[in-house]
Amino acid sequence: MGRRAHIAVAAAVLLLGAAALWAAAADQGGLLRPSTLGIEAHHETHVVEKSIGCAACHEEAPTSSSSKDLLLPSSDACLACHPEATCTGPLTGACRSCHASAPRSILSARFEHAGKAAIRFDHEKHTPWMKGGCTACHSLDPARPDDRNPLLPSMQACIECHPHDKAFASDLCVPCHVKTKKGTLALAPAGKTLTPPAWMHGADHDGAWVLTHAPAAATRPGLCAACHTDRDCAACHAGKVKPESIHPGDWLNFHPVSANLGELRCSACHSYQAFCLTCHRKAGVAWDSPSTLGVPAGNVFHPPGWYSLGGPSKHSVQARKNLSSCVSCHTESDCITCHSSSSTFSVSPHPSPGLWLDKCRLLAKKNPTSCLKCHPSVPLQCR
Amino acid sequence: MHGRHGWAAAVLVALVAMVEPALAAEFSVQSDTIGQAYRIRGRDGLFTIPRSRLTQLLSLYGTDLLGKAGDPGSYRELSIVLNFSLDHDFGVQSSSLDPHDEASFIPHLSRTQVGLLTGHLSGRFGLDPSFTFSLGRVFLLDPAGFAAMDGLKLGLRVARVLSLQLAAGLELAPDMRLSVADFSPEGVSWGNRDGYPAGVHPEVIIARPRPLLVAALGLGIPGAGSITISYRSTWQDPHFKHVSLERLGLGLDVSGPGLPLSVRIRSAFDLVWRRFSEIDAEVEVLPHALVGFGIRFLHLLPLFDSASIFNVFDIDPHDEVGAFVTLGKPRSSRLTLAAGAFLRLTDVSEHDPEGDDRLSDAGGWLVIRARLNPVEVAWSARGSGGESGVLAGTRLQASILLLDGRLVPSAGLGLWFWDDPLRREHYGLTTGGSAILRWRVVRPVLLVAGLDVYNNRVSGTGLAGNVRLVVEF
Repeated sequence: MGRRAHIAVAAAVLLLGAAALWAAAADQGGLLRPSTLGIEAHHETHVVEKSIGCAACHEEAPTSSSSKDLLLPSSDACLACHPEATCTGPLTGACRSCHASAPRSILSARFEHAGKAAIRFDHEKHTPWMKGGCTACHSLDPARPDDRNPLLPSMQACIECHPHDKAFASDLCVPCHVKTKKGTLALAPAGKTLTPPAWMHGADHDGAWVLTHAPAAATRPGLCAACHTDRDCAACHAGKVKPESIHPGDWLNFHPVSANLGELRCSACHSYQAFCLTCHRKAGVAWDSPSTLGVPAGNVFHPPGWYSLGGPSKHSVQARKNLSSCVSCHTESDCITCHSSSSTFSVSPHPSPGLWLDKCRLLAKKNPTSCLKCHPSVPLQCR
Repeated sequence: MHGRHGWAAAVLVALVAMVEPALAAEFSVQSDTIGQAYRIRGRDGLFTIPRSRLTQLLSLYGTDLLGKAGDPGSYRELSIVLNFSLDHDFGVQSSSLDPHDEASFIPHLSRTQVGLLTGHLSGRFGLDPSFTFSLGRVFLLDPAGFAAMDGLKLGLRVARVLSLQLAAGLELAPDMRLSVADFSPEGVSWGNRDGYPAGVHPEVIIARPRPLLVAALGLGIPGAGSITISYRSTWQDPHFKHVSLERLGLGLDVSGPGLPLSVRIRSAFDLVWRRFSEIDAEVEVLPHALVGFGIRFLHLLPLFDSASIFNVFDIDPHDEVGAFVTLGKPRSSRLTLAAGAFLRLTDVSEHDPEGDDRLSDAGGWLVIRARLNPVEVAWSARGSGGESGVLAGTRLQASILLLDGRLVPSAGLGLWFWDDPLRREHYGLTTGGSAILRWRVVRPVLLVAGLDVYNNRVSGTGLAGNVRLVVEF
């Protein structure tokens, strides 16, 4: 490897590293932030070193029945142990040991907090069950591999407990999550869009999700239904409206590339024969386009010699490679023109008899309709 | 007299019982009006095809019909959903609608389509075990595939480790009452042939009604995932004699809280051809909340309806193997990065003994998305080469959140090059641009307007526009 290559590799690694650091600084929005009241809580000192119980400061927490309650300690709770902290004037150095910024109105903080509550939660119901105390849910471990506020339990922690594990296994989210009138989860209850984490069936809705969601949807359709209605499926799969996430701006230009390479399964949303043909016929792309268009019908799309047997284009190879693409222009009648035992050309579309006979019997047994189209009488040995 | 009073009291009690839940029920209406217009220019500008269509969706939701769901332990939910659509395609030629015009006629094409996308009464009772049902026009989804049908879907889940699903009905076909389904077995025009002259479009399959049966068994491993095995069959005739499609599905899902690994596999084995028609497998390693990498394997053999002659062609499967890496959280990180590489193979040795045994293409892709509030920029690039020719493309998209995100203008530029060895004169370099405006006018009203401009070798410069109005209350 030359010097330039080394430099290029080093630059790429540095770039990726810088990107990783920047990405790690994810937008941390959410319910509670350290700055909610501009106070540094010093949990390490109070809980770990002094062994003060959580409820000694968070007095209202054990009896709260709504996540809309702001359960931060009152100033009286602080003053009970820190009488010297009585406010006497401007925010000075001593004040800053607790107050990171000027104290804000508790009323406005309560109002803001109530508006951000995205989960239904009843502390009073949970408290008697929490044998490990508050820290069973409110971990004080700052090294948690999560970019959320470390004091708030993650969903992962909730569904480790019965009966939430049952609810999660049953794709039942609405007992905890806020729901809409449609019965689905409110996806932006606090102004931030909810998306499932990656550990939840890979359903973190990354950039390629619209193209890769099929396995998750097929194995856990109930999980999708927690947030999505039939209408969301139909929005794309009914094939009437162009979804920007799948078919971006210049899709009209790009669609032959995707169709030819088989990158998208067009039939997941469109009926080839009714959808594609309407334009392909008029545009002179299709085999049987009206000749009045002024272009030789059927000869626009394929190179010369396309249909000739053993020709350079080998249309049989291309057809077997991507028959779906053919079907977007051709109807069965087009194929039957040559590939029928009763046609003038009688070109067999089947592989050599040794390879075909078993398949033929199998097909004829399940459904002889297609056989009968070219072979008006299917031999008995094939049935 | 006593008897009459007794009946009256019973009726009163029943009415009160019915009214109480009705008061607790929630109802919602969503309306979506979409107008699309574009024009297609023929090669060398010989002709122009103006296309435009208007689509109106209307959804009605009624939930909690039995009252509030209440405690999860006694969970019960009854809901009703109706999703209507009206679609008018202004660009359909009259000749395409005339079955006597053999050159232009397209079966089951219509200018105006009024339909019911889905509409069902659904219920869910209990948590463990839980029982679910849906009656009406429903979507069906299992590892073997996706379909819409008119019928009954039942589900039972026991102790988080066992789930059963059974669905039976008539598959949605274009000629069924209020049908709007466009997804279909590939390339098949099914329906009745009433009114078709003899010989016109013999490919239209007489299939009315077309029974559909789906059975699925799921085995769950609490906290770690599940395995789903399904059977799906449709018959061409109401007597269950001729099979249109018969598949076994196998789905595997390994994921759970705390698991640093996620595996998702969906596969469909075609029982008519006795071949795998689809395998879609992805294994993703999640060493950190912000980092993921993995591999993906795709096997695709697009089989057609058994009654279609497209089904007798012995087509070759595509196999694609790829690797990818992702960095950042899709919706919240300032920067997300995803990159991957793939190798696609098609085995044609059986059909082209003198040529190469395998047709192959290899390539890579990269997507970078940066959020610098209020601006979001996404850049993507891809490139591949091989049997399908050299393909390279890039796209840059930028949007800005104004008025607290209520107004979001965005613009994109795309540039791609394809040197298709079979159609060099068609493709080559193509450029395209788009501008989209999303405006949340008031809370329940969203207006989206988009304009696309493109230039390519075949049709020169083209324009496409679409406007969408969504109202929800």
